[in-house]
Formats: sequence, structure tokens, C-alpha cells
Amino acid sequence: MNDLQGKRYKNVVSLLLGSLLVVFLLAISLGRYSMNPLDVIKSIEDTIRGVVPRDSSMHDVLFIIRLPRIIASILVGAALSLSGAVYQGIFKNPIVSPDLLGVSSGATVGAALAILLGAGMIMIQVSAFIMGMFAVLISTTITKILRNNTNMALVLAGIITGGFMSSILGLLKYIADPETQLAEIVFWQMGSFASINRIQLVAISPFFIVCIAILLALSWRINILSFGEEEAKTLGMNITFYRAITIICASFLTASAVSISGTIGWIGLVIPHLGRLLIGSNNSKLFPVTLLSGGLFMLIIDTLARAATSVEIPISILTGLIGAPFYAWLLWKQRMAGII
Amino acid sequence: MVIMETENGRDYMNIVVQNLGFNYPNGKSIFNNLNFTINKSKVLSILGPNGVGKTTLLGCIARLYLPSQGDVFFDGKSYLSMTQCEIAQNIGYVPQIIVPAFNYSVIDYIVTGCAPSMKVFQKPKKEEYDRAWCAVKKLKLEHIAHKSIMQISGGERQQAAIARVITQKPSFILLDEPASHLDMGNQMKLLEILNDLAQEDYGIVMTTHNPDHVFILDDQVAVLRDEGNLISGKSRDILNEEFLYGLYGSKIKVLNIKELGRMACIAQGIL
Repeated sequence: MNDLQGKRYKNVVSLLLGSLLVVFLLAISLGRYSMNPLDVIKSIEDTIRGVVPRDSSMHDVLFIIRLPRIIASILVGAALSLSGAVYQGIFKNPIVSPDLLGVSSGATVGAALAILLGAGMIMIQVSAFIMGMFAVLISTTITKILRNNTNMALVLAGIITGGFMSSILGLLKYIADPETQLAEIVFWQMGSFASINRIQLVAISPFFIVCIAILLALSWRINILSFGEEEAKTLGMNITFYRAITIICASFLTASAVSISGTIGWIGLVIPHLGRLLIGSNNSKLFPVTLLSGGLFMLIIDTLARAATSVEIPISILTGLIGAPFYAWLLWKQRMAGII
Repeated sequence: MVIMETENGRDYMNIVVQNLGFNYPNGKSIFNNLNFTINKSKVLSILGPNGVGKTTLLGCIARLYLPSQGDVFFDGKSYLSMTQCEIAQNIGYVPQIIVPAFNYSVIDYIVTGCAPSMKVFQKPKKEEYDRAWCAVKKLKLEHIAHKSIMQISGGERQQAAIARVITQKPSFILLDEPASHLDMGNQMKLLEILNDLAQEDYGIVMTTHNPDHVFILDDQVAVLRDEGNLISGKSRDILNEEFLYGLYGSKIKVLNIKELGRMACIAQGIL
């Protein structure tokens, strides 16, 4: 194997880990209740050792509010970016995002439905998750009915499902109470980490960990899937099996992410491109780099969202404002590098 | 039917195509009742006019498509009883055009030839990369091994695909119109590579539109005709002027050129 490539990979991963640590310390210190990073480290150390906190309000802000939120934003960013990279690989198309099979639109309908029924936060999340996965099920069922197992059929099925879900969402918004429910639906659609708590985090983490582990293990096989169906077949791959398992894991990741944070645009599309610019297209290296840069990017965005102004800015507004020009810049860079 | 043949006192591996037929989804037949055998150490060229189903036939032999009638046997085993992976361990396939969606390096592309012999969650390590480098050296592709697969020429890309199929270590290599996008120099280089591979005991099957390539290789030919039937045998026995006129509807001269020491065919030109 190429030593130069291996060295670059190590450098990129260490750089990303280092940046993540620095931004983590900044993020945990910044906010309306600002803290000294050194005190934060001390407090974390004390808690690990089991020492009773000296400053209980700081301890509460740190462990009940800020830490869960930071961990959630890293996980969601990593999950959305990884599923974006996986979808781009399976559909051998660098411009698809994890919403391709209707996960996000399904999840939004699920959340809106729960809001209309006056359900609480937990039920909204559960409903979003179920409807997100249900949308993927509809998309894959359509391709079964068409007896067409090609990528094109899946993309078309995704468009059908997405369109159908948007109409249902329109209907739900139309009948929602404009003062309370409609506002809540719209706010949910813009994405936020403000209401994350520890219980949610603990409940959702196993999904993230299992799906990420499976996808990392299959990363090299996804290289082969990205050559197209015929080539993958002639290399002995059982296309139906690999595609099913990767789509299920990536959709699970997206649905889990969307259910706790609301829909967050751009990140699943942009971060894999950043990853390719940093380390190339080989998914064995791209996936870890995408996970780290996705987590880092989302943590930066969320820290800006809560600490930049006196009011909380919805996440999708920031990911769009930063992500769109960033994507244009990345495409220009790739053009310069002769990649596209 | 006895599939195993004995040659030079050892079991001899082959692919037997038996009563093979393929229909479009609307039921219209492309070809039917095809019977022929593909042997190791030989180059079999599949000739035939446009749209007659050469690529489909090759696809059936690679098990990309399931035939409507008949079956293909590898080493006496029906394809229906083999998994995709077992087939890939024995039969390699080089597609006509390689259009990668991402800029993998050539060596990362070639190493995917190891996939059929690897476990589901396994990733290529030194052993697999060594195998890939072996094929790179064999085809003298060292100078492009670290380039992006998207930045090399069509001819180089095809050689990379052949290097990958060698990495796959199959017994048979199928190529779909391998010469169609190559310039004259690369076409000859390709034929040389295929000839060498046949001498190393691989069984080679390729589809082609150029009967002169079949004369250059001077080996086996299978001709798929408009009526959906097939004639196979030694190329010099089958390809004569009358036959080629019947096949392509155009006057083609078949000459024995002394300077080259080979048979050649050339179109008569515009009349």
C-alpha cells in the first residue's frame, strides 16, 4: 500500500481529533453561563473521580444541559454526514443526500402528526423515527412492485415517496393551529438541539453506535457497490444483501438523528465532499474522516446557534447559510484538483 | 452429459453453454438454443452484427443475466447451483466502458479484484495489495498506479480493468467489446495481452465487431447471426468471404498476406 497515503490519513485524522477536542472545550465553556475551560476540565475530572462538586450550578449546567447537547450535536453531525457518504456511494452519485429515499420528509410528517395530536417531546421523536423508516419502507416496496431492482428505480421511488409525504405535511400544516402547533412544526423543521436531555441521548446512542460500526465495517464493500451493479455482481457481490443492509443502517442513522434534532439540511451532502477533498474517495478512509468532520462541523454550527447571539438560531438556517457557500467553494476546489 | 474432458492427462475445466435462450421482458426472443463450449488456454471471439445479442450472451455467461431457457455449466456445475461469489472466483468480466463515479486511485480500483476471495467485513491488507501490485507489474502499469482512475486515458483504464480481473484470479476472463474505444496501437496491445493470457492457461472470451482481430488471434470464433443461432469453430475454417458477406451484408475480402504471414480481412470499400 502507499505509505504516503497512509501518512496523510493519519495526519488528517489526528488534525480532526485535535480540532474536535479544542472546539469541544470552547463549546463547553461558551454560552450564557460562561465558564473557564480549566474549571470545566477540573469539574469533569472531579465528577469522574466521584468528588462532590464545589460549584453545583456550574456542575448542573455542564452535565445536565451542555454536555448532552454537545455530544448530541457531534453524534447527529457524524450520523448525517456518514449516511450522506454511504448514500452517495451506493447510488454512485456524489450529489445525493440521505433524504433520497424520503427519510427526512417521512420523519417530518411523523413529528407533525405527533404535534397535532398534542403529544410530548418523547412521542414526537418516536413518531418521527417510525415515520422516517416507514417512508424508506414505502420507497423500497415501490421498487419491489415495479420488479425493478436498479438504482434508478429506487431514486424514482424516493421522489414519489418524498412528494407524497410533502403533501401530507402540507395538509397537516393547513389544519394545524397557526398560533401554537404550526409554529412548533415549522420550528421542528428548522432543527435544534435546544431540548436535548440525557435520557434521550442514552436512548438513541445504541442505534448510532451499532449502525456506524456496521457501515464502517462495510466501507470497502461500498467502494465496489459504487462501481455500479454489473461490476459489483461480477466481483461476486450479492447486491440485494449489501444494498439492503447499507440502506437500512444509513436510514436508521438519519431517522435517529432527525428524530432528536429535527431536519437539518446540507450537512449530509457537503461533509462527504469535504472528506473526499481531504483524503480521497476510498470509503475505508473516507468514512472515518467524514464521521469526524461531520461531528466537528455540527458542533461548531450548534455552538454558533446558541452562543453567537442572545437568541437561539435554528440549526438549518446556519447549515444553509454556511453549508451552501461552503459547498460551492468545495466544488471549485475539486474542480481545481481535477476531481470533477 | 459428460462435462469433464481430459487433456494431457488432467481434468480440464470448461464452460458449457447448453440450449441457451434469452427473451426480452415482452417475450420477444433475442436468441435461442445456443450450444457451445469454452475451453481454457483459448481465445474465443464472439462475432455478430449490431443488436444481435452478443453482449447479452456474454452477460449470461458472466451470470449478469439469467437466461430464459437452457443453462450454463462451469466445470460441470449448473450456474443455478452456484452463488454469485463462486462464479466470480472462477469467471472474471471486463465491462465495455468503465465510468467510475468517484476518483479512486488505480491501485485501489485494482485491489477490488480480491473481493470474491474475501469475507464480508474483511478489508484489503498487505496480502491483497501485493496481489494487485503483481497484476500492475505484469501489465506494466506502475506509472499510473497512484493516479486517479478518472484522470487516465480510456486505454489505460481498460488495462487497469484487465489488471483487476487478473487480481481476481479467475480461470476464465470475459471481455465485452474490449477494442471498441481504443486507438490502433492500444488495440494491438490488447490483442497481445489477450493472447499472452490464453498462453498462461486462462480461457478468454471477447465480443468484437472487427473480424480482422479474429484473424490476428487465429483461434476460436462463435458467430451469432440475425436469426438468433450460432456457429462456432476455428476462425480460419469459418470466416470466408461468402460467410462474412452473409453476416454483414457488405463485401469483405479475405486475403492471405505473405508479408504478415497471416490471414487478414478488409472491406472492399464504397462501390
